[in-house]
Amino acid sequence: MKNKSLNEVNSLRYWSIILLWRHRNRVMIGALLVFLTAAFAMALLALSGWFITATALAGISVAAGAMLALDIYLPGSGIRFFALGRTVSRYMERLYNHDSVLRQLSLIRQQLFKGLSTFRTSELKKQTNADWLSRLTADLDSMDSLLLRLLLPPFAAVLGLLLLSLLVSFWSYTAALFLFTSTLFLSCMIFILFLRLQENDSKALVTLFNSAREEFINHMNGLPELRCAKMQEHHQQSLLIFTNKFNKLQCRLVRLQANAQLAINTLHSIMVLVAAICSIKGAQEGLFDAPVAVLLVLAVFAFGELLQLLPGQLGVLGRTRYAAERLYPLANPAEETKDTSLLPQKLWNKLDIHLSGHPYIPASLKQMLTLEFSAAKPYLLVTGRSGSGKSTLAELILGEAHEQSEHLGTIACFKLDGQNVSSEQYSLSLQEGTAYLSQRNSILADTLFINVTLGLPDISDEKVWQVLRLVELDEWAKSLPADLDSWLGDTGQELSGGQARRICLARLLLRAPHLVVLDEPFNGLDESMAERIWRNIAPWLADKYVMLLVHKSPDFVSSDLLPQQHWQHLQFSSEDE
Amino acid sequence: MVARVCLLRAQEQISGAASAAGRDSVRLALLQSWQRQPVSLIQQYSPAACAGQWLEDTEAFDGFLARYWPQQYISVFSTLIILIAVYIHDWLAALLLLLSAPLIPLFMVLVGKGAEQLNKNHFVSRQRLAGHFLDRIKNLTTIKRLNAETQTLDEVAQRSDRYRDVVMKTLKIAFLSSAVLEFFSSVAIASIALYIGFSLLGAISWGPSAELTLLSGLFILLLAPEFFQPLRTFAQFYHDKAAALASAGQLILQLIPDDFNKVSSESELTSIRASASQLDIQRLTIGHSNHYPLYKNLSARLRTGQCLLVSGRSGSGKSTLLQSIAGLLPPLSGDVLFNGQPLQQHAVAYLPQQPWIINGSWGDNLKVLSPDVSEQDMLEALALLGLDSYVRGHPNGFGRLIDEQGGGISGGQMQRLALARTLLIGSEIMLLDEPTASLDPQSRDLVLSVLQKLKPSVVLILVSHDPALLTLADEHWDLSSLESLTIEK
Repeated sequence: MKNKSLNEVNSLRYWSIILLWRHRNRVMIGALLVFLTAAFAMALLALSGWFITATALAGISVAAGAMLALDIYLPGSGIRFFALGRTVSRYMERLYNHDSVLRQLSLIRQQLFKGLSTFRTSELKKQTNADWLSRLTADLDSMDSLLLRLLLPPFAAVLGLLLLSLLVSFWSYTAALFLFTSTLFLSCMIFILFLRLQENDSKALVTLFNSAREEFINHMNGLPELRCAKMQEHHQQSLLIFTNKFNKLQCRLVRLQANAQLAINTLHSIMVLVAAICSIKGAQEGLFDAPVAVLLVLAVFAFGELLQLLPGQLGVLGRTRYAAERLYPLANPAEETKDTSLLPQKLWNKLDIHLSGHPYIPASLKQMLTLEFSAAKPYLLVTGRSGSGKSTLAELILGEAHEQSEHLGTIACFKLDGQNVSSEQYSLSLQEGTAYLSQRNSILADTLFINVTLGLPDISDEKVWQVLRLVELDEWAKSLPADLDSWLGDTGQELSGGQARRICLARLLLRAPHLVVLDEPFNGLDESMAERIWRNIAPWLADKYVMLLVHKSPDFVSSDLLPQQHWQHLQFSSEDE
Repeated sequence: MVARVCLLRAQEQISGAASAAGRDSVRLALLQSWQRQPVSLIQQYSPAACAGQWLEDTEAFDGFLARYWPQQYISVFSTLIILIAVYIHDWLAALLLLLSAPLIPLFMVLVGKGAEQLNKNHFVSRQRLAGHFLDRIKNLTTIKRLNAETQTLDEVAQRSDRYRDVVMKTLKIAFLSSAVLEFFSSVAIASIALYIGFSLLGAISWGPSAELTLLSGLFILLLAPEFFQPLRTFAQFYHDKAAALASAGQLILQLIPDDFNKVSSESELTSIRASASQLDIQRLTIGHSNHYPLYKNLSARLRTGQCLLVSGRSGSGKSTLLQSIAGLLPPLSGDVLFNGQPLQQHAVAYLPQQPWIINGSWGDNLKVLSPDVSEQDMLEALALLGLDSYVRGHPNGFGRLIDEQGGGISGGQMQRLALARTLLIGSEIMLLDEPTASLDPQSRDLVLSVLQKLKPSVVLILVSHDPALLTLADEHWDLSSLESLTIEK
């Protein structure tokens, strides 16, 4: 429990340091602009009050026949200046601070990307599903509030109060001191109380939201059975309970916020009242004249603009804190000591794996599987129906099957160049120099060029066209609106499964890996195209170690370049029947 | 002042409560509409996406319901009242305010139009840049495999910056609208102050200015910012409306106006148990779209005690057929009648291919489709399928959690548990999708014997490629050969 709260504090602090401290100059300027806007508004009202009173008094004395020199032009232009200044500074402030927020967003993204890219492949798979991504988006959105709602408004309010007190101190130090300390103290009390009170509820609301999400997804998964058994409505009761709880909590939070608003409004009203009384007293005692008295009261009145927005702004603290907490471990995964001394100096030339009793590879449950890549047998063909563990085997060979690394040692035995190696060492050795065509196509939302050259700097267009020709996509690419610069993915060109497959394959052809693993490369291609493409890429494959995984072996796999006798064939029997 | 403070508090609480209630009813309506819509239609979306709709999208209504909507009226009323109050004291000042007020919405609309245009121009590039980060995270595995992490990290930074540029371009125009508002309110306050000042000085000799006193002048000055305040709040809440509209656009696809007042229809369940019931499949045409019907004019008549077996190679539409019979996927034409009434009015025991297991206790899972079932019945059902040992000896009994001891239960056990649950519904119609798939021989025999025992009292429809089930079948549809043949027994 204690650890958890420590983590909460840390995560908010962590993000504050990353986002605010690194941009402290921007934050300061932004806060100053917020303050300036409010100060202009205060000045506008206060000066107007002074002006009216002064002119009224002047008017009375003029009517009484006295000659009075009142400079009406300076205050007049002052009023116009403040009016314009308020508009301009408000506009600047909003632009500037939104710019800062977008910069921060960029920082969060970079930090998250850096953090996530140190995750292991197996961990990433768990993370990058649709549900998780949608929550990540929501969390990123909540981080906006850190600057715009949580930091700037209170900061500007304190500056405003300081300015007000400074103004008062021209006439009375004690009044200024009293104004500053009492307002600061009381509003701090109000906000601390408010945040304390709503902390539990807003945290409860967020957790409630997440359990409701789980329950809801569960409900959706069971929909067919529930519908048939006519139990859908009954099962929805549990969801209705959630909405009731939401309602209650939200009402409570609204009530709390309304109370805070009430307290702040009351505080401000009292401030205005006290200011009025003090000003009248001061004017009577001749400390200052009537226009100044009105000016002071109106300045305090206008200060309300800064104060009254605060409860609504600070109310999002709970949500932001929660988002910060959730993003924290993603940006900062637990440090993992990577032993670089284990890194091999040279590439392997012989690889043996003995495998028995792997839970996801049924064939290994019955007997020990032996896989071997060597100069004599550089190519391995694995056939078996879906669900027979082919992809699991591919990931094992690639050293990505890390999740059960403890008992992986008992299941699999790795040998490189005849030397026994641990599974960790193995995965380190295999990390470089492999090319893997996974079963699922992954096309980035970007141009065709980027999609093919991903991870490779300085590739010429010519080379890209070359590999596109090998996978028979060159004609198609030429027909696209912008050739290689045509956009693929969500907002771009639609791709058929076969086209996506071939783009993923083309990606590998630009590389010179040591080991190539192709998992169902012919998915979505008709037989004759599959054969042509296989011919086209055979020269590229010939000098590499190759692992080909297919559900049914096509008869064109071996050819002059990839002769039959160099292939090893591993067949997974269909199911364990 | 006191009244104002208290009233503001009341307004906030009431509008907040109203908004919570409003969101509540939207959620309820969603749930009810999901009760009526064909399951196949709902399952087009991922459960996570639906959950997002149900939770977050409805939440977006908050700002709209609690702030924008009431503010619409407040801004009209309060400005009117202030205008009248000012008019009583000085009609010229009121005129000044009146003239400036309509200019504000006018300019805001003009600026808004400009921003919208700009937004449209940048729409695609903006969307692409905004989606860039999530897209890269989604494809992070591929990026890692291609060793493109550093390249992509640079890209994330660059794109975020470009995104900022594009967004700022739009914002520069969009914020002008609030600047216009600010400008007019400031200028109006300033000109009123100057006007009052000069009147008091006696410099203005015409109009009502002669009657102005210091007090009424101050009064008008204090009211002037109040006059603009509702408009400013209104403008601030404008984006609440935009957010609500966006999510309403999403939700509207799911909602029909009826949903808000219709009450449940599930209570009309017919549960008369006739001694011998009969299920009629009448000229059923199934498929996902009228243009490509999968199968046409399928007909069958099954009495209690009879069994229909549907087989065919994978991808031939066996499960689709079963879903159509169950009413989960509306048939393109034809009817499924039980004792002359539509099957939808009856509770049906349906076992999908992928068993649905709740992350909870054994009891939770068994009771979810039949909440009133007794422990004795549950135990019997488990015993029939050889699962009773999990619960019998355990201190928690039916409270034992499914995923206890890490790994949980195997696929075959899940299958049997789900079957046990469908048995407990006690329905006369059982539709089972691959009840013996992924079972070891021993469990398969258990399931077979259960089905044998059950058969005399129910109408049974099985989908399977398991030849062992043929012994149960009175009628057999082999979808691979597209013909229906009756087995003579």
